[in-house]
Amino acid sequence: MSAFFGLVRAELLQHRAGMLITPAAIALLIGVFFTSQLIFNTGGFDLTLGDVVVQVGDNTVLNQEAAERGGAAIAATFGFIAIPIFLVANVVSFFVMLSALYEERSERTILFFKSMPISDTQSVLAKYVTAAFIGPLIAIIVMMLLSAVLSLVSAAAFSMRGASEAWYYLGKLPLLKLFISYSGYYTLYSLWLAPIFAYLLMVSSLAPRSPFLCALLPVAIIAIAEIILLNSSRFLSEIYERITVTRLGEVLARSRGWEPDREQRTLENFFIRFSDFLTAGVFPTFWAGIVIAALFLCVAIWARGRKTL
Amino acid sequence: MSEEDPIIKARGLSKHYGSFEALKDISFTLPPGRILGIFGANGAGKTTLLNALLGLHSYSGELAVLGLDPYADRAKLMRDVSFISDVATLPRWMQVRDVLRYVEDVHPNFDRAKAEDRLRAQTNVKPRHRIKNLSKGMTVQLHLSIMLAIDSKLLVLDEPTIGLDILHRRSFYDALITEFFDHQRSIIITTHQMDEIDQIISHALFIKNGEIILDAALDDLGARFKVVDVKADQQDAAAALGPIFKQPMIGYTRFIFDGIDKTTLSPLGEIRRASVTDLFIAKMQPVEAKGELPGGYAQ
Repeated sequence: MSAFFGLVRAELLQHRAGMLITPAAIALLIGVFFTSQLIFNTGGFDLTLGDVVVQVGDNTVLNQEAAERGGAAIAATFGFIAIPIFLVANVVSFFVMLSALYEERSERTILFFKSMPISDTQSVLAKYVTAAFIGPLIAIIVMMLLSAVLSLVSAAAFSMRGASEAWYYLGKLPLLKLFISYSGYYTLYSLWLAPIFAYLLMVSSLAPRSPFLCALLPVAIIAIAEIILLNSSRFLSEIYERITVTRLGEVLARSRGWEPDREQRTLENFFIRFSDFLTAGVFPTFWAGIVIAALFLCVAIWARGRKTL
Repeated sequence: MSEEDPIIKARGLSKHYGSFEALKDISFTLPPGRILGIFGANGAGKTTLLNALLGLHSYSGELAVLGLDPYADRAKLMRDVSFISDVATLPRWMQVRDVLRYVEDVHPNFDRAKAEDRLRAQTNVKPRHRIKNLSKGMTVQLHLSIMLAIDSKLLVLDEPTIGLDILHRRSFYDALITEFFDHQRSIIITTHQMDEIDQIISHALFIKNGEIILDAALDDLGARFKVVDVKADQQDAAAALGPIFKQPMIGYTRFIFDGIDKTTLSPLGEIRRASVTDLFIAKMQPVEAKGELPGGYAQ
């Protein structure tokens, strides 16, 4: 097991610019923007969660109810300001998967890595786990640290303007619960995206050159062939729904009894539930994706064993 | 696997790339405690053979290294085999301390302290140096320090000193003998700089067009192959003995004989033991008609 940790650590080291520095830099930018709003924008700006609106930076003294519900609102809002970090984490995962097995061949470092007592299966899985789960987890940790820092900054700013209940309001922030929720959602998301990630890793292991084009070409050919021959675009729709998580999102929403036309963004709904995993687990499309991903990973492992250079 | 079992046992080993036959039905064994030099012209099949031994590609035929099938059991085999290839393959994005930690993480037989001690005592490589900023010589020293700190039974070196100056090359080979070789462990080396290793190898394997054309212990080679520098008036007599190689020199012609005794050769001129380089040139020359061979360096 320690060998696998060693492999993951090496992957993180190799991709530290994308997996560590980039989320941190974006968090820093968001933090600077948010803090400057608190300091310079005396009129404040709104943070919303459903029917709760909290004016950040406003001199208005918060009442107790607003403080209690504001904790929930601002916690969720921190989730929204984390969207750029999540998007970047996804883009990083995409490119790491696409380059992981190709670069070690083109740079010939594969000869060094293969001189170690590590199987191709371990190597490929370490690359997959790092890009699909560990990298995004780091982005979540960065985002939670940002949330904690901004919470302190917000409370201090409110306090200085006479809103002493701001510290109570800070105490209502469910940061740990949020961290668990983000991690849980992202785990589901990564499993949902597994066939796409595994496809990229497979292409990376097979591509003689330009893995990006090699990944794109089969998709384009299948999509065009379907349009021409069958007059449909089911294949592209599947990929779109996979990436945007629309179908999985609908399944999870239905399992919670949500009505499509009603606002459901309360804090309790925002937190992940164990039942979400069960719901996803009995969703056939979810498992179909996992099976396809496993097949792609098997090909990637096989190709790494055969294609040293 | 007992101590007397061969380190390598190959029977009918072949490798095809499409219609191209890179290795043709090769068979050989390597007992433990030997230093084997594998020699061949560019494209002869040396690296293909090494890659098969290291499980880096598939092959047909029978092959066992340390009793294991290299392709099926590469990860297990690499616990007891160290390998340095012909180019700088250390990850350029790592610092020296990162690569040491990586090997420590993944290799159960790696002694990190030993590697660090060697780097400190014998090189200018520092833990915080980035590998991409190291010179070629420093990179090879780092790689060698890592491999020497692995308690392995077989060390495989594929053109390890290419691009190094003579001092670095000499110190590299000295380190192999003083710090690795102990008559139980084995070393396999491929290099084009044969004259630098013919004093340290115990066995030589010549490959030409994917086939082994010579597989012998160096002691046997000394007894079997002899070089005679023959004056012009003795050339016909020398040619009549069936030399395997003939090369015109200034004032004389150099002949190499296989299996002719000293008594027969001594009237022709001064006899000396054939070096690995002499034999390599002799064996790699196209032999159309013995005694009427084209001289000079063919490859």
